[in-house]
Amino acid sequence: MFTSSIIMDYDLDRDGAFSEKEIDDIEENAFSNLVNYNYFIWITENRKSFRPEKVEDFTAEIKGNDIIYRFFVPYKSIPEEKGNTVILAVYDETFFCDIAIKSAKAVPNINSDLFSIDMNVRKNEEKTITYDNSFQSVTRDGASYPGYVNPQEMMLRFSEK
Amino acid sequence: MKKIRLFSLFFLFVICTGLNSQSGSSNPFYKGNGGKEITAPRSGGLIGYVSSLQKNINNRISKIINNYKKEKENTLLLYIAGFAFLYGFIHAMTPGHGKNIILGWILSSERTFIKVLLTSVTGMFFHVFNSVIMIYIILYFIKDRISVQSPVFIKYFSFAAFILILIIALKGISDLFRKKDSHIHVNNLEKINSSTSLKECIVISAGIGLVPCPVAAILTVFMISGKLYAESLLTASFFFSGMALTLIIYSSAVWALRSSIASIKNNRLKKIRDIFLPLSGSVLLIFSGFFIILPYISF
Repeated sequence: MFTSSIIMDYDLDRDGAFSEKEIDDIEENAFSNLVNYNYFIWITENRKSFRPEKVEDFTAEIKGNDIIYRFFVPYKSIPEEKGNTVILAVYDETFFCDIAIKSAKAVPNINSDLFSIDMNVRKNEEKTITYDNSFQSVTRDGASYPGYVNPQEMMLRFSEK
Repeated sequence: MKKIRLFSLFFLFVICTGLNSQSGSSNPFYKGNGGKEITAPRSGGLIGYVSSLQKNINNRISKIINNYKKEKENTLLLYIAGFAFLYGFIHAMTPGHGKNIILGWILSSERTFIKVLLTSVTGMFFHVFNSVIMIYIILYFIKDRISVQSPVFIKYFSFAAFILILIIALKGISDLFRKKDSHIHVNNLEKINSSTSLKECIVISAGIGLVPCPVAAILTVFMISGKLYAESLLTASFFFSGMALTLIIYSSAVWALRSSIASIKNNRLKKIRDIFLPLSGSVLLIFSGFFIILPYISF
């Protein structure tokens, strides 16, 4: 539904693609407010957490029946001898968006000559996102819906080659 | 003792409903009304429960509509209609949706039950079908840089709604002063008040429904994107019926409570019944109208 309304509201020339002006409008009216949610991103390294307050290079495109938002989140990590472990989680606490990590290879390594990255996706059992305040577990089509979900997170281990 | 309890219940009801603002769960991608930034709602309790219920229904209905786009089965259309009705019923329970306005309007003067029902239904009709009609007009006639959810668009509707609500509120206050000046007997006054004109019902309904419903707009756009034109009108009709039912239940309860208070024959409560109640209703109407335009005013 969100995709349909964005396409109707911003693809004004109805050509099935967003022009630069249309992308600027989307960024201003249907993306920039995410700063109040820190873009749904949680980064943890050495028990220190980081929530982005700005992103760069926003772009949006229509691909089939989907809209893809792409943006760059600046984050600096100081390399350590034993390697660095960064935990990256992307979830919406308000459960307006259900965000899933599609592949364990979700993070491409663009510096593979210098670094290797070990990735694994896991559920954060300590964090719950409530979508049904009654907490009544419901079973439907063999699956159980307890009224909350545990968000996924990626554990990324960087080490120098 | 019974009367005190009745009064307590009534004012508890007024506070619980009258204080619920225009907040609630929102799409985190969009700015709020007037282009103001919104942050994550942290509502718990009943409002939190209703919001999460609404999100679940939204997820379910969008999946069913997607399936219907592919399979075009009548059974799925029945599900869509049922879920649209439920969605409307739940959606109208969330903050706003004319509840404060209808509360103020009923309090401000004695109304007949049939006109209270009429106002509730037409208010929700305007609210839902205003969105649907605007979507079709924009899509097929204007075809320009405009969106039903654009802040500029909503701003004009909000100011128009405010003016209509203000007219009714000021009329209520002026009727109250006319009563005081003319020293007419209370029974005759009640007759004057209960003769609410049909025009007034339509004006207050327009005040309730002039700001287009974003959910009805999104549902309509979602269905139009799959070329489901007739189905979009059917869905909007069921969504409207659900919203109207909630407002009917709500306004009937307010009307019944107000009528109980008006029927109390206690001279000590005369001032409350004849002055405080109508005046508080008109003031609540003014505040409700003011809250609609608040996001667009910079101080």
